[in-house]
Amino acid sequence: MTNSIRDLLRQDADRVEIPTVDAGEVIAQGEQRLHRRRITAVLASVAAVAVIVVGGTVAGSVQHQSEGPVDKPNENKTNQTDDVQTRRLTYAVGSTINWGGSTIDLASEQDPAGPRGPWHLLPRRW
Amino acid sequence: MVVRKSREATDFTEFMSARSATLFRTAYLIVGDHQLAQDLLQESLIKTYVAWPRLRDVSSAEAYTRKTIVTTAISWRRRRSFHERPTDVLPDTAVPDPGEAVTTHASMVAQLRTLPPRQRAAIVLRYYEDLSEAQTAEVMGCSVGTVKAQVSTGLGRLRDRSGANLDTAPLDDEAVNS
Repeated sequence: MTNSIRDLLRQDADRVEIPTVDAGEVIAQGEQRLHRRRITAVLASVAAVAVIVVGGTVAGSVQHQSEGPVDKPNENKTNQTDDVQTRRLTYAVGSTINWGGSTIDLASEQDPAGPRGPWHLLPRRW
Repeated sequence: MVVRKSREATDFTEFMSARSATLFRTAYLIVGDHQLAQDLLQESLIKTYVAWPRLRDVSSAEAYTRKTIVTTAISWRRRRSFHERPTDVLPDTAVPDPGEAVTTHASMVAQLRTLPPRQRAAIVLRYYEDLSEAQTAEVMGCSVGTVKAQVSTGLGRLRDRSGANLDTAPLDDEAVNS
């Protein structure tokens, strides 16, 4: 006996009772899914923005904490002014160097033989 | 809730009323159960409605729904294992004698329903929907070679189990091409 698989399937399909599909129900459920999809998209966007903001804030604070002050103050000392070191005011006017209260006149200190270069350190061969 | 334009809803309703019977038959042949086919069709139509703006014409909408029916049926079967039904009486597992094989229509349909979902979907698409191997592969989301293997294995099992000589002549378009 030879059965055509096509005829077999068509006979089976033709015998089945076709149900009525409620278009309103299908559309309502489709709208529900679209609504859920929109809400999910909005929530995902909000979550992404929140992650970026929080991540940026945390990264900024961690970076700020890691640097810290270069010269940390000593918390054990009550008088911070003890650590202040005073230095003499030093500046030059013309050939005179002012160093605190004293002055050094370079003109009087000049070598009468003239300026010396590093060559005066070389040994003479002649 | 934002409801889509009434024009789209009207077009979708027209599509449903025109094609739901054909699509239900396909769903029924793939799952082999009336209630399950109804659920499958409804689920596929809902997915089609969601994707409706992307589907430009009725033919592409029907192809999309058919593809959704196949992929959803396969995923349901994989997930739920609904082909396994509880029963009080264990079935007779004796191997049928080919000489005494009952080759009635009902027994053949029953044998067809015992095939794995992919084999069955491939047979339905090839021999009921009259799709080519390439079109079947497109709908099932697999290669042409896989379709050939699924159809060949499925038909081989049907022959072995029923002992019937199945006429599985190739489709006209393939006969011309080959």
